[in-house]
Amino acid sequence: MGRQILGVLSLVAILIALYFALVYAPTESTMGPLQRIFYFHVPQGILSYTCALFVGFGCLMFLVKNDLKWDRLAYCSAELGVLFSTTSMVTGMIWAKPVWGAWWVFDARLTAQLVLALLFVSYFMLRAYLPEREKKARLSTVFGFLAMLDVPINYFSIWLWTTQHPQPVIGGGGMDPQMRTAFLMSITAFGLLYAYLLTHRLAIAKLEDEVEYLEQVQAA
Amino acid sequence: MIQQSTIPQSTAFDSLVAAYVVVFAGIFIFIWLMMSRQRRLEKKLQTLRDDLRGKS
Repeated sequence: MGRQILGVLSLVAILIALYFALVYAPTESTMGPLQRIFYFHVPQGILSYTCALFVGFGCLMFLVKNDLKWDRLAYCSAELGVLFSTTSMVTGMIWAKPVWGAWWVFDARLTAQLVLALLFVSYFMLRAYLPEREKKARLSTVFGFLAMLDVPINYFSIWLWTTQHPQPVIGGGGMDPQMRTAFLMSITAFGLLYAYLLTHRLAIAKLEDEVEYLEQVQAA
Repeated sequence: MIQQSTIPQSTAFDSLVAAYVVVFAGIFIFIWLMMSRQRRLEKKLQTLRDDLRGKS
């Protein structure tokens, strides 16, 4: 019931965020309507970081507590990580083509984001090759920690290296108040959507474990 | 002085629509896959429970 309420809430919040991003926020003078991609692109990037942090946290807790519920948290977050790192990169590429004249450049931020997406994929590739549930959980923590480690490198890359990626607008103080409101609305809406997707995916993961257990009982 | 956008309006709109479509398509495909997996698992779980009940 709570999950359904969260689902409805996130849907309503996304519709409001769409209104704020496409109608309420003023049109930026240099990029025109293209700048409105920012209201969806940045939350996708932030959510991909959140996923990586949850994967790392889940892996750490699994190693400490040896409880598979933490592994479930890790791999459910990693699945969402694949989704959000992909949408953040694709929306970024769509923005980059008319502005930079290229779909992709191998600068620090973009490369770090690509590495993050590849780490999420590698996490699942490794798990697919391991038959034992316990071994799967234990060995995949390596990629979980690497994904978590990528987050600070990814975030600070625009200060550490020369990059074509725009400087951050959050906390920079240079954003129009209406644009800031639209941006915060987007962050809230996608945050709610993330909470809904993660709780729903966790419930399915629990079902998967139950099926696996009953299959073992049946085989015995 | 207000700087005029150098990107043609049609290109900007096309890109904007494409970016938003990518985000929503990604989310809807993820939700659809999740729902179909849930339905499949619930069916399997019911079959397994029935089988085990029949055995005992």
